[in-house]
Amino acid sequence: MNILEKLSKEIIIFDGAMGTMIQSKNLPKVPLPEIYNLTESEVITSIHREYLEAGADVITLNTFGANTLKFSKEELKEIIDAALKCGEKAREGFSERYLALDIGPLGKLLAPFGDLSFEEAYEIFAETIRIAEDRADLIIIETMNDSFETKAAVLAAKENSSLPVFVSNVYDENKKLMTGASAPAMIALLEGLRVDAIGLNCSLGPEKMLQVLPDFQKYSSTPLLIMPNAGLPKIIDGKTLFDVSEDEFVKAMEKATQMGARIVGGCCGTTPSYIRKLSKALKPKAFREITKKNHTLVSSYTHAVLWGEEPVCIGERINPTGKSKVKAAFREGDLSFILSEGIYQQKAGAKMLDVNCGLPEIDEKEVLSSTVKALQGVTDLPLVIDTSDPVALEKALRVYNGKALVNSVNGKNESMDAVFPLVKKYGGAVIALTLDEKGIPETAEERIEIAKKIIAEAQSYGIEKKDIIVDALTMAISADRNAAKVTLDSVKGITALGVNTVLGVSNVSFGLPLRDKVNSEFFALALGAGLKGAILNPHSQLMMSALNNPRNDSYENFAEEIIDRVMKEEGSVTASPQTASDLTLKEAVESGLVDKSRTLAKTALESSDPLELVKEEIIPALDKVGEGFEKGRVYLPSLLMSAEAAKAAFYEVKAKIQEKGTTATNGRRLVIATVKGDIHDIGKNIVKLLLENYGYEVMDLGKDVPVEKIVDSAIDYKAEMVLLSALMTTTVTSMEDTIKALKEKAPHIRTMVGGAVLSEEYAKKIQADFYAKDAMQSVRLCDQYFGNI
Amino acid sequence: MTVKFEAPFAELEIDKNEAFRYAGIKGEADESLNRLYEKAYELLAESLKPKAVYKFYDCTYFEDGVIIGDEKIHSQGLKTFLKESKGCALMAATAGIAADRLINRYSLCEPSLALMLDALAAATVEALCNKMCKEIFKVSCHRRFSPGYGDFPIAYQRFIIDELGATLNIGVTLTESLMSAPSKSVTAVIPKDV
Repeated sequence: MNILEKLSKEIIIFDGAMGTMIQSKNLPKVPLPEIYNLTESEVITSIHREYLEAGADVITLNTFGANTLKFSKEELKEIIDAALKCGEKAREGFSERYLALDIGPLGKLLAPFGDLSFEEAYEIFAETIRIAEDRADLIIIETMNDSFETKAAVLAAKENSSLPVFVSNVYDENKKLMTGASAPAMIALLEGLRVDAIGLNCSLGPEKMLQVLPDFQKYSSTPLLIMPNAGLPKIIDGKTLFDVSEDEFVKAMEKATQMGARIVGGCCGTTPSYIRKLSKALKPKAFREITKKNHTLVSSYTHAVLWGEEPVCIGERINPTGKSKVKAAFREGDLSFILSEGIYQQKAGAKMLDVNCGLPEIDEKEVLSSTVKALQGVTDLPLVIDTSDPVALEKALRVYNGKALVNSVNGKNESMDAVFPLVKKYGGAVIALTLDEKGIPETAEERIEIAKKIIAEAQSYGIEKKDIIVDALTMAISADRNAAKVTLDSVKGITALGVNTVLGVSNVSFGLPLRDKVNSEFFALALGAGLKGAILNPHSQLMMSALNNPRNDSYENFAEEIIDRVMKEEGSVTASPQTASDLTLKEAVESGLVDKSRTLAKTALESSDPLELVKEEIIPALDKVGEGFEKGRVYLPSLLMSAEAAKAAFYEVKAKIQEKGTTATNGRRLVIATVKGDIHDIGKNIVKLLLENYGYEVMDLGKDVPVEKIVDSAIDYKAEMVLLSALMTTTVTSMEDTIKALKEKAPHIRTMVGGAVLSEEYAKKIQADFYAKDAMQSVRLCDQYFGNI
Repeated sequence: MTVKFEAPFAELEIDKNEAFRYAGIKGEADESLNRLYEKAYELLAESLKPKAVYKFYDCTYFEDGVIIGDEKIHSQGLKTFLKESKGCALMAATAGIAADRLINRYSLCEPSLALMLDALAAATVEALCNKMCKEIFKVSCHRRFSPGYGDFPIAYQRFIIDELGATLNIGVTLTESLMSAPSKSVTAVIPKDV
């Protein structure tokens, strides 16, 4: 009987602490406890044996920290082999006992806030797993503090072994992981990855741990694992003791099993004696069957969004179709515009964000996953990955930190064959469009049939109905008066199937005036018909207010009535009078008033030439504030506020200039980056903002950027200068390497450096052409240099 | 034994002038800067859970430095700082990853706010350290010595983090280039007779 069969029949008992037991044996000190597998194999074997004798079904091998960050590949092989031998030897004479390869956290924070990439983390876990996969009975990934690292470990386990995978995270008193994920978020992520058991260990004592269980009871359909510490450590007579007694521990664990726990064991401070009592008390007990939950959850690295209750607003703005600024941003690689668009939609009330970068001239396979990664650095909203390219979809799903919503699959076999295997593997809910090889049906009945077909096909992959969200498709009522009714009837019918629905509503008003009004009224009716979410523009107040005001009125004549109404109203709408302002644009920029600067620029552009406006108002304002900064009268945050205000004004200027087909920049191209090893980029971002305000075209490579990437990008981009930032003495060396490489491969490109640890002298030493002590000086130096050539 | 220490953000005595200094405000702050501070304060108050760990050690001294636990540290600066005190505490404190997330979020759309968040989060960790100095170690705020000061090599951050299990306990890690991640984190030695 393998471990999963056993799990289906009885409560599984894990062993207790390894570290606590090792400490009690007073072994000679070694740098890392996994070394004992080699040097003290008899002791490790005897600890396993004690746990087996105490009644543990599963013993956890001494491989918690066995990975290539701590050991060479050869050492790692020896250590894991020795760990397996200890377990195998201990198990001799017992039947139906299992060896769990133990995978602990790597002790590093993943990018973007640490320097370990997701792919590197994956590879480190995979290295360990490949060594043990043919000898262990299961893999336990435990004491995980971070959702992304957990995902890397699970993928490594799934792709490099066929072993059952149990996953256990550490929750704190706020019922969250150290890096912020809630239990529902972890449940969504891990059930998506189809692990065999989910739970929690370490950190909290048993009673506190019970407080996290209701979330599992409510949302998880997967066997629950729980391994608390024996309370908190206390020093009594010079010895470290834990404050929860064996009896108290067992009592709490009995409660845990009543709350659905199926796999129980102990973490820090527990000993064979705890496990003996635990096994004796719980092994004979009948367990509670897990009930299947029907919640549709999508998640990010902090929280889950539940579909089916409050309607879910998905921000639609990160999509180049019909949005010239987004299109331009994707084409020019201006990620900051895209990210800001995400942040603004979150502020406006979006609960999820749709991400689409499908443009013929960009490489969607690369750009979609890098955009998803970057967005997750600035927003904690769950994302909707919107693409028709399966390769781009897979890359994005792989690096997504959470359980994504996939947009979309449809009733065509080709589509289902491509999308469902990916959803099955990486997890995710998926938007199902009610169209197939024959196109979009004209009747609600046919659309409902397609929905049924898609749901059935998904189920054949093991994807549950709850993870399908049907989009019954909104069509333009200007072309077909019946279109709205068909969509709304479909929403009703599909809702009756017990499936969630979503719509992109704005199509309904195509070709009509006052589109927002048409959209919002249609949206309110759709919500009344049972719609559970929509992809919309969260900046539209009409739409956001419709979100909270579903309407149940008849929609039989909706199209005729609304078309009639908006046609009449169109003529009567007058522009709201411009309120006079007592400020000039120059003054607004100087005072750092962002909104004011934008509106003043917009008004001014109606009558003045955009380039004149820049020359006469914006740049003089920036110069004045910059001068104040240089003289010490204006402080950095105020300089930045002015720069933000100028940027807002430039936003309008650029739009105007683009209409004319000319450019707003001075044509000078710069590349800016924080060097390899350095993960702080606030200073670099400030320099970039100012340079852009002064008309430079700046390509921002981000932080922790390798030498080759900087050199190659500078050459490709035809940059005339590269600006490098470093914060620490330990990273200035990569700055030096970058300059050296640039001098070799592209001697025509100038270099400028800045950052906390740099000085004029040091800059000279590493052969930088320019040193800027602050952001303003970097602008002055560029102006001087480019003014003279 | 390693002990955890947590203090709610609202209970920390954050030095506003210090935060202003970190943000590059060298003199009187005008109203708009004060508003910016308030905004940063509100955002951090909502999401920060500052945490720390510490542990006491015996100290013995040799000519070039000090032995803390089993670790022989060559540093005249640290030795002088400890003033032959018989013991010391090692500590690690952090504002957590939530601070980095906020800074990163606003560094694109509102860099002035990101700068203020950065400064205030740094001041928050300082305030947490000060609180620990006052309440636990009973020393004045300035009695802290961190890797990187004088001749105390910055690489000793690793030693302190490992000794305290600071990665598992409070999530403090180091990058290859010895930057702490989360970025608003501090490791330090504090004199304490045990």
